[in-house]
Amino acid sequence: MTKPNQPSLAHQKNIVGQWISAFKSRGYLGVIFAVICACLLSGLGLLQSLKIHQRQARKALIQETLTAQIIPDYDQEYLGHLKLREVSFVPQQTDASSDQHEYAALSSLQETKSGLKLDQPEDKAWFDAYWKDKSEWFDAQGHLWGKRTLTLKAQQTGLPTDFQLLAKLSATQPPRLPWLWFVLCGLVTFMIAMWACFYFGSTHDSTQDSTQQKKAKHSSWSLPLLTTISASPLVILSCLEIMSREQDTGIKVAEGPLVASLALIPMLILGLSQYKTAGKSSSYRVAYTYMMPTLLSVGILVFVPFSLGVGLSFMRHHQGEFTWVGLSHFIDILSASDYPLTHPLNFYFTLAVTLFWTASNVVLHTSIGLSLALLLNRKGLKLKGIYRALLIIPWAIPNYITALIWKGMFNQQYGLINKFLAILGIEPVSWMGSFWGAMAANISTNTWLGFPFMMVVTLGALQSIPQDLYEAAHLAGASKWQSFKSITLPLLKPALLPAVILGSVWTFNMFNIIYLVSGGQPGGASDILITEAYRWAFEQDRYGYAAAYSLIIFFILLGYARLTQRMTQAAEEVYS
Amino acid sequence: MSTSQTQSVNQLNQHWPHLILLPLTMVILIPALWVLKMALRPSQSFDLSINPLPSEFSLNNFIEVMSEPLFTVQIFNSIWVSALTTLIGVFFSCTAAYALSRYRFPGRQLGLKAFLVTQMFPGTLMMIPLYQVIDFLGLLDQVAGLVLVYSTTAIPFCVWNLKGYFDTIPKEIEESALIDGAGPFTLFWKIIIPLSRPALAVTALFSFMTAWNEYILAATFMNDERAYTYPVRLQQYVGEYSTEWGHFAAGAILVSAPVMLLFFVLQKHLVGGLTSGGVKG
Repeated sequence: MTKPNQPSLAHQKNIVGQWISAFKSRGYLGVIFAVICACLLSGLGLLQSLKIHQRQARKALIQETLTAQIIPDYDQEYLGHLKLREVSFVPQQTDASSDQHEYAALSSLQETKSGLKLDQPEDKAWFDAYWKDKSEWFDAQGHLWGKRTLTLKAQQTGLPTDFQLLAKLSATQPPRLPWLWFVLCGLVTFMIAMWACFYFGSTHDSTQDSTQQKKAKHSSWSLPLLTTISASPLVILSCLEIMSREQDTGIKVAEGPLVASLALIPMLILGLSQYKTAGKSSSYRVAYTYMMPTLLSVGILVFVPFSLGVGLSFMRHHQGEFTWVGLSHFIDILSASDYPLTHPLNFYFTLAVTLFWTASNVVLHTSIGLSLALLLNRKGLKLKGIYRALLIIPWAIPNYITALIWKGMFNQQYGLINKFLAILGIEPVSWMGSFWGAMAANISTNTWLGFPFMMVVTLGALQSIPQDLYEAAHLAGASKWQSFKSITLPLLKPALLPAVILGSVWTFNMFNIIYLVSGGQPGGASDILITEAYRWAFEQDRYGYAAAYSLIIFFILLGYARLTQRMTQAAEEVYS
Repeated sequence: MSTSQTQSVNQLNQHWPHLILLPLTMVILIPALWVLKMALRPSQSFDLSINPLPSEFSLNNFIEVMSEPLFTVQIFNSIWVSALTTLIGVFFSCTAAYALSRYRFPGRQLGLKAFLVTQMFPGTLMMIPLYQVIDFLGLLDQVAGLVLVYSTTAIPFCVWNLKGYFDTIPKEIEESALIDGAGPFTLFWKIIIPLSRPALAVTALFSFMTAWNEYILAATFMNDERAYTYPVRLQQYVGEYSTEWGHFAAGAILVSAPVMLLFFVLQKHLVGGLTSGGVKG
């Protein structure tokens, strides 16, 4: 790489040729796919720019309406929620005995949605005449907005006089588009497409000599770099746009072109990895082609929301507005200073409950599943298929249904568990009244629906153990327990451990059961971390706090996974 | 030891598992039987007797549930969402799993880890931003939005499952096909896919279940009753304002029946197709 400029220039001339030849080579599927992806991405950018524009237009319109006609108690939100061709009456405050009138007006509003016949010819003419000169009131969606006091109409329908008509009519004014976005998005599309074509196209490098390799190595990062550079105005503009919207950002601070820009990340990662692999076998490119759809979709719909959620955890939410609070949520949660240690809302209390919940479930699942599988795997057992089919049933029933049914079963008055206990002569238990009762209900529900998975996994692993091992052990004089201990268990381990780890992660985050069966009763004591976080978000509207909570959950799980990864050979093998 | 004694010992050996399995199966089946009983009773209350066997046979609940004005729309939504999720989820995870299993490329370990890590993302953290993303894509109240979300949540598990299975397919098969002049894509479509049918079936089943059984996201993303998937409606039967246990049970059976049917059909594959995901062959 003594003269970096020269190969780059040569390559620039070559791009078009390579672009064309790319389609002829093996990677054309990848090329087509990459182009589609690129178009999709910039389409997203376009869509979003359209949306931003609409929002701005709407905002301007509302401002205009507000300044044009000063109306007390004017509700912006209400204006925003009216639907197409809906007309409603809003009583004017000037009327002295307004209470009754308001009521009448509001009830008539309910009726007017169907009752008021604005489609009649004279109404229509009146409307047309009135709205004609108000064309500047079109909003970005092409809807027409406006208000007017409608005295005559009100008298006709027998309502008190002096009502205002709040109307929204459909019209067909096309929204204006910012041309800059078009240009930018087009540019990005083109760059990504070209880069992708080149990237997937040059798979014919098995016979490359050293100079060509050098060239490939250089050009391989010049194109991703160009793409990045061309994408950066999009990113910068998005950031500027978001900053300028400080007032009405609300929760929407996260969305926007930023998402589209974030979606470029997989592309960049690919580009970087290509830089690393340039000149090597073409199989990398095939592999990346295979990975592409998944990477993109998982990137957009899993990792983007995740990173947005992470961002959310540093902000405080109050009535639709977000303010930056840094790490204070985390400090609040982890120091747990607001509540004593035994309080249900204390983080460490909830954590202990969660650990207890997870551990007991995993132990129950694994032990029941394992023993059932061992029983079912016995040679010559009759009705094996029927047993297996019946035992799988809990798994096949959707877990929210299971949860609701078990909740009913644990009901104190008419629940079946208490009825059963009554036969045994035990007083009805208020299951949800005590912490242990609620936990017992939760755990038994989850055990019921969770053990078949373990059973099936174990069954499969048992079947893959070669029978001659047992025969050899038998010949060597090993007892059944010995052969179980030294053949079955070690050979089950690689299959069981991942299942147990995955199972414990799922149980840790098992929302449905806790939320639906005990619902956190009594007083939130039986809530686990995930339901607690849900409550913070959707019952207290503290989204930032909930996000911080969830992030802590995630880190706990991550730590757990790393721990188990070290512990298990299976996981080691997986990561090899 | 006489032969009859050995025989009886053998018989005992063969039959004692029934002593455990039979009562256990009964206990496990009781809640399911209660649901059936509830569905077959004309009443809407939960008040049942201990006996799990149905005593009345009335199809009223089923008829009432099915004759609801939006029943067909919502069921169709559910079917549509689940089918598309299965298709997209399996296709995407198939290709990714194949790459992860057969190729060694930079970022492979990262990818594997990333897929595993997604299983740990708490749903609450994802829900609000996911809502924003779906809104951003303009897919609220639309089947496509749910399909996207479901298939991406299903993909990581499917990838791991399929990757484990692909690992067990001997490489020699592919090598001989390569010698015969097959390209990497022919190899994938003509050899790997047909060979891994059991694993594909199980993976498809899980994708299907992810979509078919989910209701929280569906309830969040769908505001229009006509866009509901059936679980959202079903959950309302025993929600805060009504307790129509009979209707709920009937609906639950209607919803569970297809999944159960699939489970029974795929039972054999389930044992083989799932475990190889965990075991390295």
